[in-house]
Amino acid sequence: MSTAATSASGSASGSAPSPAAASAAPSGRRGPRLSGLTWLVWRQHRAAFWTGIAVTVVGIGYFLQQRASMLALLDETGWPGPKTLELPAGFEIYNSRLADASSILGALLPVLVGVFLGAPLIANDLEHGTGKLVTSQTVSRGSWLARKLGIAVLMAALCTTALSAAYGWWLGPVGKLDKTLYWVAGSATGPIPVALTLLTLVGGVAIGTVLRRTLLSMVVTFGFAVAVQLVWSEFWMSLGNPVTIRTHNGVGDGAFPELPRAAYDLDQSHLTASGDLIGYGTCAKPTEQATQTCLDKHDVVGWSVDYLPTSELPGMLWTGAAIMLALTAGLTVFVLWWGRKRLY
Amino acid sequence: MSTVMGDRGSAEDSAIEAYGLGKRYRRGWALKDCSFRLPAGRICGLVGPNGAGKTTLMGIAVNLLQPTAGTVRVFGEAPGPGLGAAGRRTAFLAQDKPLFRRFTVAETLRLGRELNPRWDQRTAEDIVRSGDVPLTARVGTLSGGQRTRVAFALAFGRRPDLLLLDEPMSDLDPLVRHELMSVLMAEAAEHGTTVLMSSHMLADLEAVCDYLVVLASGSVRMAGEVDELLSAHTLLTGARTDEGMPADLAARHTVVESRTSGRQFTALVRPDGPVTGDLHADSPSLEEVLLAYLRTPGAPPLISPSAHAGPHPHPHAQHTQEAAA
Amino acid sequence: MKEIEFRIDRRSGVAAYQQIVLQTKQALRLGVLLPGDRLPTAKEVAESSAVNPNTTLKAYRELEREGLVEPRPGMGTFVRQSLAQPQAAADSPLRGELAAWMDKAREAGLEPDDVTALVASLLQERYAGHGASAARSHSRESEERT
Repeated sequence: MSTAATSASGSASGSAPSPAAASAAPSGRRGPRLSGLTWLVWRQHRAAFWTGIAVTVVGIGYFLQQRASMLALLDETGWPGPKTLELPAGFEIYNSRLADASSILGALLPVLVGVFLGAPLIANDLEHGTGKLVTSQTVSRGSWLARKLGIAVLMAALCTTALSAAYGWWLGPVGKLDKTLYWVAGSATGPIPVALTLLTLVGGVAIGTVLRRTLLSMVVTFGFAVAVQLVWSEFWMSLGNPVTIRTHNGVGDGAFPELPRAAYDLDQSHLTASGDLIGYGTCAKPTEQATQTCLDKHDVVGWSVDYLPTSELPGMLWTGAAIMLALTAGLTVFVLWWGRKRLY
Repeated sequence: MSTVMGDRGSAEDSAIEAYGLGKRYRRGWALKDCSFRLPAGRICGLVGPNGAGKTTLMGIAVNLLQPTAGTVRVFGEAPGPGLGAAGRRTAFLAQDKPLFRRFTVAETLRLGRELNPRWDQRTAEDIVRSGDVPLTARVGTLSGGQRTRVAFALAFGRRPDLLLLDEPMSDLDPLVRHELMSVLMAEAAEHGTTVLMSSHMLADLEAVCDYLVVLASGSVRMAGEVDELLSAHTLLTGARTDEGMPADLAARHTVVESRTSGRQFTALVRPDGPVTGDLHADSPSLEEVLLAYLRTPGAPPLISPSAHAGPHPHPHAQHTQEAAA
Repeated sequence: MKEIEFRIDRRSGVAAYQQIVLQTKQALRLGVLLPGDRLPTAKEVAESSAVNPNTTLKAYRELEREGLVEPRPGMGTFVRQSLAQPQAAADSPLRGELAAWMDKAREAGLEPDDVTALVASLLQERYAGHGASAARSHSRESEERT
């Protein structure tokens, strides 16, 4: 079918379809027939796109397989027990695999996509003149840039969404039980891998469009991607609204307030009778005597603890993702504007 | 097989008209106050030393560059962003002849087919085939001449009415050069294409061009039909006087360049009337004329009547704004 | 089936269109081209010798003006009349006389260059009127162009 379609379009100028046109057409292509700029963008970057698809398929397969074997272990050990939700012995291995997968998904993947897809996407065409080749066909600069960016963003979004969903499904059964699992592994679920990847991708495209040199753009994009990761890891916890719990029954053994399961404690202080807070290290003295004297002197009456309840996480993730996607949109506008004005 | 005689464009049609075209880069003006006209159907050489502004002029004509001053019309229209009527009728081959190196030849032609509503697959394939370039070969594995041939195929497949070629033959050996020039001329003959090709070597173009635009330091020094340019000049040789050249000669004719050696002087002049005196008059070669103009920046430029851009169109407010910004 | 192929010598100093005109006339004189023959199209000339099609068409227009060829729309340019002179044929008396004269010149010790010079100077002398009329038609043509 594809061969016939090719020779038909080849004779669009009115000449009879030549056997040459038919033999020139790639035969037996997989998938839907692409045309126009979409074909060009796919053909030019097909190695990157197929790699992305392969990584996604393998990743999803791995996540599903891990989920199944994790559930098998939990079943075997009779979890959840009648009285306890504590994870059984032997689960540590899944703990570390979940953590590894979360850093791959939330950190490594965005960096790789930015450096290897984003940075060269336009820079390579500007460096080798092929951008000039395309835009001197019957194609405007704006539509070429938009199609390139659009297809790259779409591919990245589809792959990361699928991976993130599969990872979320793996994490699901155990995600709410443990503080570390919930907050650390959970920080790379939902919209976050998608948003981080798109921000780094479009950032790389913008860097490449301005610098016009592939290798240089890849290096600079790597720096940009690492910076995005650092800022995000520093900043994301402050997106939540902490809850403060205060106790008035001293600070002795057992007086520390009970936090909800898997809640993330941000800050803990001693509470004095006057309502002031002092750092709980203030009265950490070498002897118990001295400690007590210190506590008495400051008139400490109990604990004040700030924590993030588990219900905060989804909101934080979506807020963070929204901020990153807004930045991505801004960078997209910049690329299109810059490219239209200053591409050559 | 028919000779397409009627399609070669009437004298009234202009392929390119430039009015006071200027382009300033950070390091200065690459093109300044450049006005000329290229009638449709001509094979025109754009000649000038390196850095004369040839690439800049072509870039503006195909809308890869925005002029700082002035306007250009391609078949009467502003060069559009690829999609305008002028853009559709124009094909451009940049000096480095960029192609996707990983694409096969067939895929490269498919690029032309996919991105151009007016595409002639047969013409494109014929050009490739006549050079024995396999369609399945990757562009990166082809020789320079074969790559240029594929680039020609991509350009002619668009059925352009105006084809601009920037130094198309610069990196090719004489045999391939002749072969590709034949392809170029044959396709231009068949489709009545107007061709504008640049070179810093006159010898590349002298044999094939019937029209010439000479640029030097960003401005037009000569433009017009080759025959007109030649017949407008006379090479005079005579005995030198004390000042070198007889004074009345300069008073009555336009002297482009004069040189003295020993007791003799040689002058290239544009005679305004019959040349009198004890002088030997000779017809100069195109190269002699060209070199005289390039060596003498002060010589008045020669724009033949057919190369005069008509009355300036209404200056576009759009361009004035861009120039200010 | 091409009856004739032009050889364009870029270094000769003679304009390409004039070379085409001269070679066509030569072929007409020698009987290589006969009435009804088709001249190569501008595309064919371009393919074989990388000649600008406008140059070929200009040469054909000149031949047409002289009444030697005629364009037939959509078919090409065809020879209308031959220039072959029966008096110049291989067995003509004129040719025989010239051959006899040349033998004498050789015996007298003249080099080929001397013979050429002699013939050229006599040509100029005896055919002076023809040369002037050719120059006139040439200048008229350049007026038309300007």
